[in-house]
Amino acid sequence: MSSSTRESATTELRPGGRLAKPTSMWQDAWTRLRRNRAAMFGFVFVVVLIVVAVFAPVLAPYPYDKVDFGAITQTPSREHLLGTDSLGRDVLSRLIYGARVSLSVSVVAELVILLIGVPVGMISAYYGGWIDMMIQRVVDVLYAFPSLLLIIVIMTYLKAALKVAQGPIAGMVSTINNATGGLVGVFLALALVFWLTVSRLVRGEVLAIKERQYIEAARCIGVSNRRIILRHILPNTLAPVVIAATFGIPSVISMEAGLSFLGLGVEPPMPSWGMMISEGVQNIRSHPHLLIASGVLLSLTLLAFNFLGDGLRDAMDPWMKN
Amino acid sequence: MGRYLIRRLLLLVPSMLVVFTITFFLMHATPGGPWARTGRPLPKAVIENLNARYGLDKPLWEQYTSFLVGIVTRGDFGPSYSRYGRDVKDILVDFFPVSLKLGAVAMVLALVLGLSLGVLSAVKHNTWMDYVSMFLGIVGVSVPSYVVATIMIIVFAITMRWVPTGGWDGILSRRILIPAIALSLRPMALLARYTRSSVLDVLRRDYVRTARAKGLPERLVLARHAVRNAMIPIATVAGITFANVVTGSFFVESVTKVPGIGRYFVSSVSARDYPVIMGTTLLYAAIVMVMNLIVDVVYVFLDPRVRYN
Amino acid sequence: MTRRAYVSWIALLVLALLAGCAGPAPTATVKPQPTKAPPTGAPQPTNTSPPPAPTETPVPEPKAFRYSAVEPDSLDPAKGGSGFQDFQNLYEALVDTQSKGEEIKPLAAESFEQSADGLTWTFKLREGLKWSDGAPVVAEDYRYAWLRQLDPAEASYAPDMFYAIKNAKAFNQGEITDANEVGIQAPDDRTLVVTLEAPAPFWIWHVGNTDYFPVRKDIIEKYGDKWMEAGNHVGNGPYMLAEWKHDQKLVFVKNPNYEGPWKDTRHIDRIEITVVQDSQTQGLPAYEADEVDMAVVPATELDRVQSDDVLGTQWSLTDIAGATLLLFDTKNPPTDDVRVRQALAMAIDRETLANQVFKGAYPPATSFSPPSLFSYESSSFLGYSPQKAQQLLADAGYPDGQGFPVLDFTYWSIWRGPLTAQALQAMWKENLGIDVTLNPLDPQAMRDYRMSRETEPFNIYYALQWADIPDPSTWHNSQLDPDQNVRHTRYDNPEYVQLIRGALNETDSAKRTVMYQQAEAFVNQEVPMLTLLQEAIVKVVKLYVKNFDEVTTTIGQMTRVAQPPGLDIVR
Repeated sequence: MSSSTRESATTELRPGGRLAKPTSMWQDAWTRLRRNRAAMFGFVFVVVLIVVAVFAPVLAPYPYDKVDFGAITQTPSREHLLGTDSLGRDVLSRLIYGARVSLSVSVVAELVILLIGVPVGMISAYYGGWIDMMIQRVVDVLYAFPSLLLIIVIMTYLKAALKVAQGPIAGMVSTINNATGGLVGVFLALALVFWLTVSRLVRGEVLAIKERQYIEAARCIGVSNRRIILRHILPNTLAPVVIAATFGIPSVISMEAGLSFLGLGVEPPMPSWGMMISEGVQNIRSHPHLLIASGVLLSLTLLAFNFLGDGLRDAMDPWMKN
Repeated sequence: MGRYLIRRLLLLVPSMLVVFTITFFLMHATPGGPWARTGRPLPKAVIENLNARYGLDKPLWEQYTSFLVGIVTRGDFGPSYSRYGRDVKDILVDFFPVSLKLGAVAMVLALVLGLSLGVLSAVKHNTWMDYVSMFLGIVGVSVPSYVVATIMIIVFAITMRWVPTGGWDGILSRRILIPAIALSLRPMALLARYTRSSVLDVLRRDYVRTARAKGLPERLVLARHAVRNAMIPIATVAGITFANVVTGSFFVESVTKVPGIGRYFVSSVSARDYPVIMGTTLLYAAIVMVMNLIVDVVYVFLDPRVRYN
Repeated sequence: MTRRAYVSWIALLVLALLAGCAGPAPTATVKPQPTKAPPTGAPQPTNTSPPPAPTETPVPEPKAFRYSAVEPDSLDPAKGGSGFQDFQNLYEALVDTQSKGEEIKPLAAESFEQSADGLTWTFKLREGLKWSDGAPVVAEDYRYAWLRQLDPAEASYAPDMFYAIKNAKAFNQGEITDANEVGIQAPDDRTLVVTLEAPAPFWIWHVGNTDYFPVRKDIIEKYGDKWMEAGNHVGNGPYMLAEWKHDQKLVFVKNPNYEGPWKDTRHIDRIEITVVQDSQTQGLPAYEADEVDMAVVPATELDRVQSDDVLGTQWSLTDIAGATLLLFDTKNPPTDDVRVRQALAMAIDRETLANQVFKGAYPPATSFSPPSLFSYESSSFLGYSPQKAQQLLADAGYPDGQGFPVLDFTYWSIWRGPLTAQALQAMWKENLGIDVTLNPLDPQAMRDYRMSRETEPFNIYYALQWADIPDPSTWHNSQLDPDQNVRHTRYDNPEYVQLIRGALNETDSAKRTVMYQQAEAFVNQEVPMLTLLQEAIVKVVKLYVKNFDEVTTTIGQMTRVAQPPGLDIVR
């Protein structure tokens, strides 16, 4: 429903004459986003986080797996600004590296989600008929699975399967998986469960768009299906997809935290925030600093993504234009 | 409408069969099997005896058919592998009602608070009230429920001694407070968010503008036009959330010692208790599918434009 | 709707919630016993003054002993009550092997004798023993229970605990189908005669274990798999099952028909067990809220408990005859080289692992066997010595760890597994300059991994072993004999194998000790397996609980409430 006037934003349809620089929908959105303080907080926080994650080796005062048996579960001090964990590792450094893990889990998983969800939703809606029927039945059935259960089973299966995978592609995936402490398994398990929502969303959008006159016009003049999808439909579904992805990232991050609580997250000594939180919960009464550091950071991050998502939605919503 | 309902109900059968099949092969493909005990490494012969007793030594397709036939003809999921002498049916009958009751209480909390916060922040869009209520809502999503439950136990059960540290005595007992609140935070936040955006969306519509223009009091604009129309998307979210909440949360139930089905969802997987995995999965799937159906039916009442032939 | 309306709506809700908090707690569900046992989570010990109404006649309050445990898998001795040996209170074995002290005491049997050749044991049951339903306890009940353990169709969890008995193994593996050929006979109601394959001096220790409890044939046949439910269950122990609300609580009460030797040491009237998901971490919060009288302290909480004003006076650490172990594949490079295994062993700083990482909750190992087994021999043990470890690794062809392959280290992803694995990884890296990949598996997948090692090579894996009986055979023969099919280190030093096989049935106990200690030296020196930390358990017990230490068993630290002098609560 919110896509109804979106095509007016595409510059080529705009009648000529006015020399003022035409503003694209994205520029409009950015202008509006900048005015939203909460969203800007989210945006800045996320950018800072990405920078921290990318430059983790430079920023972290210690390696994430530097064990120091002489300094176990110390409270914050000058040497260890956020204290140390049960193996004397620097909590700050682990949080910084954990940002890498948590962000890459969420971003990669989200990308995989989009890679599956967008085409499936689009094909389902655009072609309709029995293709749509079939796909929707599959989606319905998968939707009915308890997601946590599905993730656990997939994780347990993938963990074992990826460990021993052979062959050119599977072997490479397995190597990456082992090198990153089982991250690939986490990506895949989460993606395989969460693509459903995206595909439904995209299907809904496309169903609305494909009835529009300009699509009909394009079809009349013999534009190929592929071109219609890529040139006319895909760009118009981008905004809701971007919003969904922004909201999807925090749920992937917290799902990873849940997996860590069950011992199914990334493998030690690789840190993830989820794992640090579950260690923190175990030590909550003796060493509360462990939970406070990771818990606050996780909450702030989720908060930032949510603010950003809310802001994006408000900014991209054409009803807001006035 | 009647024919539509019948068709949807009939569709449940093949869907459940697919759920059954996927679950069956997925759980058998997962490495490890039942019978492991952490205390003592079992000799191979013991495991083989156990496999034979429970028919796990037969070919997979044979296990598949006999399992399916047992469920369809007798409604019998068989005995639990990890809890000797307990049938899957006993487990579902004992523990699903607990999760259902706890979930219902949590859901009521979530609906009341979530809808209030959502409408409040939509009406007071971009004011401090909007920010505060959205902040509360987002905090609800961002803090993992097991952290919330753990902290509540420490504060309210150990330090303050207001409530016991856990357990279950039905919905009228004080014991329900910590699990119900912990369980309601996430759906509450979700509902608040969806309500906010849905109401915001509606408030910008022309008919709302018209209503305001003709001088209708703001209270009536909200009650007659905005909230009712905003309910349509919210119903979807609430339906799915409800299905999620009443089937229990492993995290909340295990931290607060509530004997619910959510605990079994997870512990049956880690114990490779195949019949219990199957029982709980099918139960969950059935609830989700039925909830979807109910949501679709409720649409008809909420939105006069929707009609099923 | 106005803002005010909303505010009042929310205020109302908050009030309702608070009212819910402050309202009276509904009384617990009605139970058959009209006793006024304090509901879990009720009164605090500080205000135990006169209980409810002063008008009532002063009836002594029933004494309840309360603690938390995980839901039992079963209360059937044949179906592995693993993690829940507390059902010890519901049954009575023939002999008592688990109270502190070296000797075996009679229990349900008033006497037990071994024949001169060591092959035959004769048990004489006490007179007048009864089951909880009043039926007499007869020798056949024990015979039935033991044969049931061996029946392959029953698929019990511990048939191998009976293999020392004549023809037991053959019967269990289907080579013999006639149960009468198994060496367990009950010539009359009070006599049980057991014939062994060999003089197995360790066998009698098994008779005191849960596996050897009697069960009632008629009850099992009547109720089938449901025979252990409250109301159906019949036991011969000092206590009986009164209530079992699955995944919530178990209640044991005094067995009115019990006529055994511990009849008068039952000071406790009720045993109330709250079921938790994780007995390690969920007991302490309930203990601090005064909901239970005893709890396990996890290592993560030990610091706080020790320094706490109240808890600091209530905790104690007791050793368990068990340990965490590392296994090496002695036929797969590089761990096929004994110097590599020695280097890996000597690079482990157990003191640090035990006292820093685990806060002193588990004592460091000082030999392969736990100190409670008489094979324990620490002089041959390879202790922590980074220099020697580096030298050994260099001798093996890997100076400073150069060229050393990356080893795979497989372990449980639960409990102490992750911390132990990460600590060892760091120690090997620091002391030897070598890398290991960590491979966590959940317990069920770990079982598959362990079993598939029979044919597949490995590097190192982590295991946990408990000594079922205080005899070295449970440590050496059951883990390192090449014929056992449980742990596959492929260690086959013929001298060692000869020693443990000879010691197994050696009747001269002095000679037997020497043989096992010689065997121990082989393991300590050649390191097919090594012991990391001893098992131990830290518990907090309320000060009003008396004799707690005296009634805990040597194996698994279970509480046998009626064991003399008997647990008591004196407020």
